[in-house]
Amino acid sequence: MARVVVLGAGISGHTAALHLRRKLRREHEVVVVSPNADYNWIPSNIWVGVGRMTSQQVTFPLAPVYRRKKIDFRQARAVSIRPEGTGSSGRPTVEIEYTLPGRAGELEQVEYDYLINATGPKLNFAATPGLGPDGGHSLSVCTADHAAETAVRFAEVIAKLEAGERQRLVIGVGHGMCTCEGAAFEYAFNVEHELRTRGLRDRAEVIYLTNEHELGDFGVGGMTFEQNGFVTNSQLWTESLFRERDVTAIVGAHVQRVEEGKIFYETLQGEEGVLEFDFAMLLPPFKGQDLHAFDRSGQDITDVLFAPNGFLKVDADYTPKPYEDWRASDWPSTYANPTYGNVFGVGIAFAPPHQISRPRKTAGGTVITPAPPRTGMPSGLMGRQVALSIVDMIQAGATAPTRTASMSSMGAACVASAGAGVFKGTAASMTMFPVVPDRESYPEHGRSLQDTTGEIGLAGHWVKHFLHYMFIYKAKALPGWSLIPE
Amino acid sequence: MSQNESNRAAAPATPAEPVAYPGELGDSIAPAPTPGTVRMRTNVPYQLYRFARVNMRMAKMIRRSHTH
Ligand SMILES: Cc1cc2nc3c(=O)[nH]c(=O)nc-3n(C[C@H](O)[C@H](O)[C@H](O)COP(=O)(O)OP(=O)(O)OC[C@H]3O[C@@H](n4cnc5c(N)ncnc54)[C@H](O)[C@@H]3O)c2cc1C
Repeated sequence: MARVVVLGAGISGHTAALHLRRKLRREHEVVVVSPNADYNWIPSNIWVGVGRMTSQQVTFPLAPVYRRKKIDFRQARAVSIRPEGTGSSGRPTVEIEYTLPGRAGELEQVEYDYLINATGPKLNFAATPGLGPDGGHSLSVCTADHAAETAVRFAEVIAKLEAGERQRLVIGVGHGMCTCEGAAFEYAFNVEHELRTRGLRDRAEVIYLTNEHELGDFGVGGMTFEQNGFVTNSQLWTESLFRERDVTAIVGAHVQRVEEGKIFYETLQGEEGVLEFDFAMLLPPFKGQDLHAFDRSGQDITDVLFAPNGFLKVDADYTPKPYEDWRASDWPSTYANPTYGNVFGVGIAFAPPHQISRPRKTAGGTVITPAPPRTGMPSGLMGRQVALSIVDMIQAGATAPTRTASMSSMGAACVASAGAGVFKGTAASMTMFPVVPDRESYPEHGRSLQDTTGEIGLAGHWVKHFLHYMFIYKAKALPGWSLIPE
Repeated sequence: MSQNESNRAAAPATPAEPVAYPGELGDSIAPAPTPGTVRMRTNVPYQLYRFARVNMRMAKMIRRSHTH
């Protein structure tokens, strides 16, 4: 009998757990450790943040799904990993701390044969003084609760605009090393649309504050599209959209601190600015969860398992090298840790070998470069492929992972959809293939011109709603769930 | 005062010029859509066609991403 422990029940971990249970014979155990009782379909938090959905519409309780699927769910957070076991036993363990009401704080050692770290990002608001809704001065849409709080504040802004006041709304990222610019862009697009459809746009100034050196970078070094017989790019596409919607953009910015109604920032050009605001939604930078690792004798081996940013080291080429020497093949494909081959890192939890955007810093040395995004589809796909590799290792005698899911051979979609109703909404949709440019396969642009696109219109709005219902259906493991792709 | 001017005076005040901030993109030279392009974004038959195209493109991308 083998036991697979999955840490995290987000997009990648939940997908991995469901596929493990689907494929593994009953005698094998699947255990999921995750601190929250609910699953959250994070991409739809954007709609919660403008009051178009409630947090209940983007979450559901995990326990009934896992009970039905015979997956052992422990509502707890992982604290440390002992990949060589403890003194008395050679079986690896992970220490967990319960968050389940009634057992909160209780510690437990859970033995494993295979471990998947799918703990996603730690929302590192602390990296920027005054950032974030918990004790800071800005808002977030990273969790359903954050988004619900943001919706309340947005409603207050709307009330003030309706009363004839002017308001300045700043949307973007709260640090030079943030990722997830796509989500900030999507929220800005939603806010602008809400204000315009309510007839309040002329009293509201909408400012997009980003660490991207130019609009349309999205942490992937921008994209090249073919449109109406021309080759164009995501910079022009995004600038055109902002020009049309009268959104002011501040690019190449690192937020130094946030005070009540004020954002202090510096730019790649080395200038400093203060931006006053009435409403600010700034995404935090991400780091790995603070997991520790110990060898059999109790020595700290955290740096063997994890990169300094807390993400799990996997089969990537982490050799430091200049931007010009970066290769698609540097990116991991099996997600196994090189030292402990039965430990895997998927989704946001794996350590990327380097950025995708060209690294940039100010003359004073402040790094202002988007970190590489690990979006929903790649995260789900990694979870699935790692699960299937583990199944082959347990049941088919494979000695190494059999499946791969490199971000240099998979695509991603980002659909910013706003508005209510079938015919009243709008969307800005982008697809790219592959996520990590592959200059050997696509020498000219690094990506396939046919599969890298950007378009605006109702069609994307329908796609996004369809995806919302489809992915929540899939995550609930309802009949036929496994036929829905990641 | 012409009719137009009096209408303008009654309309809500337009926002003040945005203050120039470091890093702010100046007047964009990116192409602006024509009214026809904007109309097509909500034209239901055309968007149904685009919906089919977007789905086909995504299906192709998903197929390519899943074959490993
Ligand atoms: C606002 C927003 C909008 C987005 N929109 C899109 C979009 O439109 N399209 C798209 O493709 N992507 C989008 N993304 C990105 C997408 O949400 C992520 O790619 C995806 O959630 C990553 O999946 P994950 O499993 O790695 O992490 P998560 O989904 O964050 O899951 C991590 C899990 O680990 C758990 N966990 C945390 N700490 C521990 C611990 N110590 N022990 C055990 N478990 C732990 C968490 O509770 C959670 O269940 C968006 C992201 C944001 C923030």
